[in-house]
Amino acid sequence: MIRVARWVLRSLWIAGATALVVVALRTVMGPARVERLYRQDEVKRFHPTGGHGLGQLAGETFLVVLCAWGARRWLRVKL
Amino acid sequence: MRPWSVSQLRFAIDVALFGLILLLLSPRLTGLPVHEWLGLALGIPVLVHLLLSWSWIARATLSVPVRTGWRHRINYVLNGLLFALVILEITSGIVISVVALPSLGISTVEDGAWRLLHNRFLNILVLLVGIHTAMNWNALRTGIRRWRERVTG
Repeated sequence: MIRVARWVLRSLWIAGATALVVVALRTVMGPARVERLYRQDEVKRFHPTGGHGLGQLAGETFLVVLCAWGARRWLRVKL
Repeated sequence: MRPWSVSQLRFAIDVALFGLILLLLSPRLTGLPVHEWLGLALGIPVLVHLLLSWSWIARATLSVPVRTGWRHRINYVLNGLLFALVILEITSGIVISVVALPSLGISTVEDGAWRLLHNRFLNILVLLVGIHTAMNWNALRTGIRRWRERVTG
């Protein structure tokens, strides 16, 4: 029971931190407004295609791995 | 089969989280509807990841302001930034959702400014995920070794 309460309390701390970020974002950006409506069809734009999709996945994976490798090699990032 | 230890569970969650983030960075592979649902689901592994890392979070929060080296301070700030960026991406994704939220009966406005925010910070997220991976490289390597030992018996 105490253990469950501890997990709930920790989750509440995380929810609080999340709320801080969300409130800050909402304050800076304001609510979504029709005057700033984005008019492109994003569902059509991101229609899944095998070639492009796998290319994008490979590209993003490469970028993350490159950042990790660079951080270890040149910034000597480690704990 | 032996039950999973906490460290093995943590490793499995971290690998799943890493894979999920890579999938989220590739909407041309998943399509927008799956991208949005995966984005909503991202909150769960992030929460579990944070809960399983709680001892580090609590220890670092108490010790970073008073007594640690600069490496730990930078790591703490980077982790905080990564958390804020993940929340930014999920929140802005919810605001501009065109499939997931409307299908739940929640109307949204596809706001160009929120969309710009969502897209612009992705590059910094990629950078921070890479640095976070680099920072925890030793833990990752240990996890892979233990996993291989478990699989090979």
